[in-house]
Amino acid sequence: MQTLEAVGRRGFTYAWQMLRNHDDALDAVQTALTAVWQHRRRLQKGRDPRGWFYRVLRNKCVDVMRSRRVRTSVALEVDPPDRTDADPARDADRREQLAHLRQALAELPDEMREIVLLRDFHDLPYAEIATVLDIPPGTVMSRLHRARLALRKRLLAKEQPDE
Amino acid sequence: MNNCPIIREMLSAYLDGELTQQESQKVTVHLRDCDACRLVYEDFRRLRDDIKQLEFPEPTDEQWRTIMGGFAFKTTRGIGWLLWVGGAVVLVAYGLFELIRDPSINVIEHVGILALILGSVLLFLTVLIERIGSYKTDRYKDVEK
Repeated sequence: MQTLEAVGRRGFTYAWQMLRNHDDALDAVQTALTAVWQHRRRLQKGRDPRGWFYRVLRNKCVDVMRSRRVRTSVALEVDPPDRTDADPARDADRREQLAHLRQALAELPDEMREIVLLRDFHDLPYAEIATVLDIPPGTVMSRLHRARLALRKRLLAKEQPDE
Repeated sequence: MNNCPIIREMLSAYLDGELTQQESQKVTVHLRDCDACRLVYEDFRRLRDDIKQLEFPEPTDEQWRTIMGGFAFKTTRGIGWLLWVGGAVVLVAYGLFELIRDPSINVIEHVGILALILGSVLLFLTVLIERIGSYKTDRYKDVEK
């Protein structure tokens, strides 16, 4: 069981991944935490708290995106961490690999990028993803598979542009 | 027998440990003999491991304190108001009861004190009703101060 702080901090990253804006993400997390706290009794009756928190948070993010009217198309860029490998050449390769991945992720349709990040970055099991996205678990399986295939295709095209 | 298309559909769930034991066994056996499917599986695994390594913004400690401060403020504000109003009602009712019972206070004093208390209550209620009315139509009520 993760602490409220751990779930909340991770939730901020999820909100940022959707909104690409620090202040909007902070606001969304605060609203979602308040909603979860206000409905904590319902949560205790067997509902999955993390999945529900992510779902409330997602709904809030969708509201913010609708209110903006114009969808953001900012890439998933953040400043790379200030870390260096013992081997500078390997470090450069690794950075390039991750930059390609980041770019390929950014190019995916929102629906695909979201499900890949929920599974691979946020580590949510299929049942929780189904709660967050409000879709059947079977759809999670097929959508995630399609998303991974699409991501792989884009990444291979970036890594082997001449082939 | 080429069941690659069926196995490919199951590779994601296999990687995530979301298949039944029987399905999982089937994929394991297939991957042992099929280079093409194994390649896709290895790519999926690499993607998953690399995505875990990506860096995304996290709230700073100060921002986190702001989130929790606002969250605590929102959740305790209701309780605070409830206690305050409850306490005030009990004290005013008790004061009125004692006032009416007190034989040392004459009728004019009784009427004056009761009028003051009643007036204060009415003024408070008027302001409260006005605030509730304007809150319902306030377009900026969700804006953080």
